[in-house]
Amino acid sequence: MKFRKTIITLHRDIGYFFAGMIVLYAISGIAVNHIDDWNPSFIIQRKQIDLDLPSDPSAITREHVVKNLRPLGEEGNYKSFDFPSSLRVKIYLEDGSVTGILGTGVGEYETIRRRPIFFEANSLHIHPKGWWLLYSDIFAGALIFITITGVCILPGRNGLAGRGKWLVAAGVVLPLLAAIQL
Amino acid sequence: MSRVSFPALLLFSLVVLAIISLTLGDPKEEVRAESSATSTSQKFGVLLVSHGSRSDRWRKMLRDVEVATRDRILASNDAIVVTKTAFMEYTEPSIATRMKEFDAAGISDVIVVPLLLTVSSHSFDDIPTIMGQRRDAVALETLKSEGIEIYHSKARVHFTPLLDFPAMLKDNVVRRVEGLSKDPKNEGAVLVAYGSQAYDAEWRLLLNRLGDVLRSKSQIMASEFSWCGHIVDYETKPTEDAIKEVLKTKETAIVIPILVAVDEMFQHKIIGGAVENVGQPGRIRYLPDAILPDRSLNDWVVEIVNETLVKVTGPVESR
Repeated sequence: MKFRKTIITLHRDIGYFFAGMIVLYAISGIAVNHIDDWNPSFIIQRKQIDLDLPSDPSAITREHVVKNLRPLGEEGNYKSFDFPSSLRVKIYLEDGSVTGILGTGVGEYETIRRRPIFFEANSLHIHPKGWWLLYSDIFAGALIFITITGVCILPGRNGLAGRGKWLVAAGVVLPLLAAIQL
Repeated sequence: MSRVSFPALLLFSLVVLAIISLTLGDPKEEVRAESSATSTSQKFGVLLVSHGSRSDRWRKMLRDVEVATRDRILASNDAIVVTKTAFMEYTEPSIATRMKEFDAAGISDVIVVPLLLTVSSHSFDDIPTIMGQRRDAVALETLKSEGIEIYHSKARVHFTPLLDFPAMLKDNVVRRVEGLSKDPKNEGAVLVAYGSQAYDAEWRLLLNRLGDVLRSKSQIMASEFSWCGHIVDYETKPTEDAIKEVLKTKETAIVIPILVAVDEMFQHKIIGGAVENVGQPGRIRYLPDAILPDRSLNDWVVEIVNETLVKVTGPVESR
């Protein structure tokens, strides 16, 4: 009885301690699962714009470039411009860029900003570094501990020896099926 | 005191001047010597940078380029003391790792050879951003979020052009098409490349030019191209469609991957999958090969490194 009581206490307290982290990682997991449908870490906005620039790259000056940034309210964020190829000009901004196809007047204005909460959660979740890597390993170990203690808490017909074993088995079957199918 | 005649004095002065001049040496020579001292203080490293892949085979093919060119590059000029290979993503050695090694070795200048097909976000923004040479907001944020280390090296960085410039690529494609060709008049080529959303116009231009080269250098008059990369979500269908298009007018389609090296996912799963899905094995000829290995590419790497060195330092005597 004393052992069970210790297990319950550890399960409860470690569970409390890691509750925030479990929710955070779960949210990040859902976000990254759907990476094909959205960018989970950044809000990248792109829009077509008109550009008024000479078609000859050598004729393009900083003044031309800044003039084109005014309607976007980005003239203060201008950093530099360059030519990725003979077809294209790229204007670098503090938080984005403007790319134009030379001689067409067609441009694309792109901005990037971090998706609040998700960026931080995904960074911690996907690329742990330094002390956070160690802490993440401890967290993973704690999850195993919480799970094992969790299934052992209840005795009797609602415990692992009773209906618990069937539910655990059912929970293992699904990932096994998925692994076989893949 | 005897009197000295003016002509004798003039002659004496000229002789003294000549002796002083010879002792001090030619002023131009002195500049050359100084310039030579500057260039000898420059230690060059060469970094062959490629995209990176989880495929061992892909990475080996890129490492082989370094192995095949290392001795020739090092032998070509005293200033170059080391060559290395780096991968932009997925695996070590990363670009940051290599640039740190160059800094630790006291390399003053690094000639970076991007072994990439043509302009893309990787070549124009990502690689320079990783090396601290550019500050593209999107590249900076996304690279960091992907765990790719940004490293501002002490060494100066000099980029060479990409693979799309030289005749080497054209010859490579013609050679590979002709290797599979049996009856050119009844064959069409399907060129399959990675593609780029941001630089679609440039990629289309390159593939169209390669099609033109095939028409002028071989007897294969019909060609189509398709993408197999992120731009098409790694789907087989665009390649299937391109093969079917060629088969509408020609008896046989020759499928050529315009990819730098062999990655099982691309040459086997995507392009090979498309070939299988079309379901006419007798009418399609396909080898899951790549631009590499190619001796001409190795020669090009040696040449472009030396050309870049000359641009940076001026002409230097070879060994």
